[in-house]
Amino acid sequence: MSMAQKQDLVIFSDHSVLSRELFSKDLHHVLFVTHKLGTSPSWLINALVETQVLGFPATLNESHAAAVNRASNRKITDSKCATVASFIHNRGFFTSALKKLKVDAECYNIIDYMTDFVLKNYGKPASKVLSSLLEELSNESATSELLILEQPELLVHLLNITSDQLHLELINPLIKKFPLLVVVSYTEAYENVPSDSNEKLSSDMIEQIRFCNSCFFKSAAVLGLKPLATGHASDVSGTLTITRGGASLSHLAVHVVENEYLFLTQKDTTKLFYR
Amino acid sequence: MSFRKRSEVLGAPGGSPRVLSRGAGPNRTPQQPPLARGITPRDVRSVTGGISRLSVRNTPELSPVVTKGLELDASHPGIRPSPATSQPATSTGCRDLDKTLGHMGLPIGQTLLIQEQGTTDFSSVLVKCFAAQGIVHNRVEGSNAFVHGNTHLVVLTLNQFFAKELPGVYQGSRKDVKRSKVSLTESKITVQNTLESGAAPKDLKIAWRYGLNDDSAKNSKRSEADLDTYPNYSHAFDITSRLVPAPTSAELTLISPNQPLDAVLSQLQTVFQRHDKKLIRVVVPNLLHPVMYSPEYSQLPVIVPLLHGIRSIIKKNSERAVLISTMSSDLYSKSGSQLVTSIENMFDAAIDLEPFPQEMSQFLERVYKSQPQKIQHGLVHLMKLPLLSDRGEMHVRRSEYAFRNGKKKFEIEAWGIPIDDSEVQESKGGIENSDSSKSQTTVSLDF
Amino acid sequence: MASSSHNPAVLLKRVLSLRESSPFILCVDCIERSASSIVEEVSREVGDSATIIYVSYETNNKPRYATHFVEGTGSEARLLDTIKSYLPSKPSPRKHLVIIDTLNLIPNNKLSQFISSMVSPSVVLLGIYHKQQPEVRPSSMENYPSSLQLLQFMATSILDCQPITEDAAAEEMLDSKIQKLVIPRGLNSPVFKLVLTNRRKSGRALTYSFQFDSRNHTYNVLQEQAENENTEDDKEVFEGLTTFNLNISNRQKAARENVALPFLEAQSFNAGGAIVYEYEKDDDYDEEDPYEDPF
Repeated sequence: MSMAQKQDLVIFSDHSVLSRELFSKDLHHVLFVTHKLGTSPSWLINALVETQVLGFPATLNESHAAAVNRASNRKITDSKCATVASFIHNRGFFTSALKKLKVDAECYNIIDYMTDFVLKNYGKPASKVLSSLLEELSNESATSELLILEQPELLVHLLNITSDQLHLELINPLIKKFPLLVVVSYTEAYENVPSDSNEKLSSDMIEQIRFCNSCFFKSAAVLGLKPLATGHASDVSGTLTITRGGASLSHLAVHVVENEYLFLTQKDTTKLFYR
Repeated sequence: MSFRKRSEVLGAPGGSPRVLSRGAGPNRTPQQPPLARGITPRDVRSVTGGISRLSVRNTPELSPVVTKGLELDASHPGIRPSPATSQPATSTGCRDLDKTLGHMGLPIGQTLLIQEQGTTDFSSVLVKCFAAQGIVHNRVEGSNAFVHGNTHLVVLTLNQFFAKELPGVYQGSRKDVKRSKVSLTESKITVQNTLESGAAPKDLKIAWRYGLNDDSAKNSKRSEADLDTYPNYSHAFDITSRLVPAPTSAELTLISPNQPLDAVLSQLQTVFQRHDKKLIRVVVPNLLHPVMYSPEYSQLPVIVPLLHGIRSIIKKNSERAVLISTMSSDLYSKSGSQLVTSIENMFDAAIDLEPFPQEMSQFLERVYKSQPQKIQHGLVHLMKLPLLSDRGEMHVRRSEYAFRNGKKKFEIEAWGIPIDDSEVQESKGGIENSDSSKSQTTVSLDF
Repeated sequence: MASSSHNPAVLLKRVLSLRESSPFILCVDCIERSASSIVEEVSREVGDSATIIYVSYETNNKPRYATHFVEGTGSEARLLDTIKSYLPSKPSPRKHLVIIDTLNLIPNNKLSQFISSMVSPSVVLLGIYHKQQPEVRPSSMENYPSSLQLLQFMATSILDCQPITEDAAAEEMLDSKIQKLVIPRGLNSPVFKLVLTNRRKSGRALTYSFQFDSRNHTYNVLQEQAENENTEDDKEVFEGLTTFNLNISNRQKAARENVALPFLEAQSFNAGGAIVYEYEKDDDYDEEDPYEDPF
């Protein structure tokens, strides 16, 4: 496997990860990242931030030393920065990782909805919390073109709301604010869906499926991370499948290049291979 | 920094600066004369240990980054850097679990969930060891501990007697007791001892060189070296004994989970404020146990905010807090339910204990008739490992490890179905034996 | 009208270009193939001949073809008012097409009212429904039909978008993957299967399957391929083996398929085997006797 050819991450037909076409005026797009137990998406989130800041995922595929070396020699493009808002990880989790990748701290912003979220918002009416979240995140759009939301579906339980309410009151308005919104969702619960369709789904599961399906139909592309079906392997962490989403991109000159990569995350680096 | 020179003289050849950071703890008052505080037994040991490990990570530890986090980390007896990420980690009180987690402990700021299938309660052994280990760390400093201490334990439980049920440190066989006495006298500060410790590196270097050719010897050397470097890092606990004296309220805080969410969280926060210089070990045993938690907690909109809130507090104090939690997953793993997955999602690390069903146990009893100490009690499934899984490494391993609960320790080892045929057993048993013992030497060292 | 029923492709074309009188076109889609291509196709066919009102829950990009763009809200009453403000108050010669990019967010109990209050002679409603979207059903609504059932009942035309799969096994594989939200490559491709159900005034429904290519805007009628292939296979197997005629006629074949095989009965039980006991008039069965319990 070590002999295998490393591959660049490509999502769009102009050989880019985040095509500039997506950022055309007055257009708004969504990408949907799904991940499962064992394949945490943090490297992909970092790669997307890096792409937004530098134009390409500079440190993907590189050995750590080479990446750092290369990172220090590069200049920053003039594109706007990226914002990451996470409901499961705190600020330090991202800043330390991005610092290691030598991404300039000026170029991204982390919004921490992990720390004290419950302490601050417990018992408040849900719509109030949602609107304050929306306001805070909307302010970011002044400087950011890319918003990455990690596990917003937790709000369904944190605020005891329906997925429809979450979509209508938070996700949809955010799509309107940012040229590109990336929703990162944990879909391990799907592994426990009864295969017999006659069996009644639990209401939690219904909300989860509704949330993810809605995200799917809104997104131009889906980036699915999952471990190998055979389980743990020392030379492969899992697969990254890039597929078209439910939204049409016919108004753009680019389309999504469907692809399946094998990836290996070790230490602080991730390498991609073709399947 | 007058003690700096002193320690350099002490560890002359290596001049390990590690001593500096390890010595510069917050619990040492600066007014203390450098001579007295510079040469505590632990520091002497750490000098030799540092050299014997031939580690060259001196420079980063010298950097003043330590002052940002709590300084206690550097000198805390229960903290050592993880060999995988070099982030500080603390022992869970079970050496095999420490090893299984990939960091020789649970990294500070991380949370661990232990799920258990069936109705057995093996996970409680791990919880008790985790709790007892914290108390033992706290008492390393001697009588000072009750006033100042370095570790505080928080338990989310209704069980008022939790403190009285903690296991005591394994005293070991007679040989072990003797050895510990010897080491005690060795550690006493005498001129002879300081001279000896100065000469030690040379001998060890040679031992090391020979050891390179022999795997098992190297392993044991290395772990001995680890023990030298981190003498009070991890202990073996005898689950049949009791920790005496039982921890008091100065060492342990009980919080009832059976109260409103904000009350639980604010009490937890108060503990963190009150013990602002200590390592806080949080234990949430038997999460969602029907006796302890009211039925509402099984609803996601109740349990998720609770865990999210607790996680938030741990992460906010990520330089001095760890959390361990157990739950019986069978009760809640009904098909189509999201509960277990959602709870797992709230933790940085998760393992799952699956005790063997009756037939399997009987089979093992039959196969290991002559070596009952080898009978495992169940499988350990790894779901997430601290730090490593979060950065995208895939660490789901099902049925690769097995556990065995013994009087003095909870063992985790690689699992393979033994061969039943008694004849094959005769010839192969030896090989298997040496195989497993080889891989286990690092862990099963008694002291 | 008569001609269209003979030529399914013409009928589809008439439906897509709104020339067939069909006031409510329901578009059912799934993760494997979203309906976005159909909407684009309809708007292309309609062109400038109608005013298009695009009601969106899923995008903020106003499509080029849309005359008006309405954002979906949580309150369907408010949404209805907004939409109505763009619709002619009295019958007008110009057609108005209302496209709703998802009907899933309209609550089940308001759905029928929502649809019926919008439809009028000069208005055509094209609504998309994601069929994989589960619904929370309060116990008070248990007997009420599901949203999909309701919509299918009310719709005058139903366009069902499906991926093209090789065979039943592949379809099953795909289903199980989608159920776990593992999305394989090759879905949502420009070529897909479209099942048109068109209701006549009498309510009688005609169903046709097409292979739809959204790049070339062509649609070919799909015959019941699967069965045809099977029969051909059968024939080929026996070809040239012997000089005897081993083939069976269609009538014989039908008769063969009607034979109930004994083991099929056993298979209909879900868990393991079971004893099928049928009472006959000669049976001497005593209910009181525990030893005679046939089960």
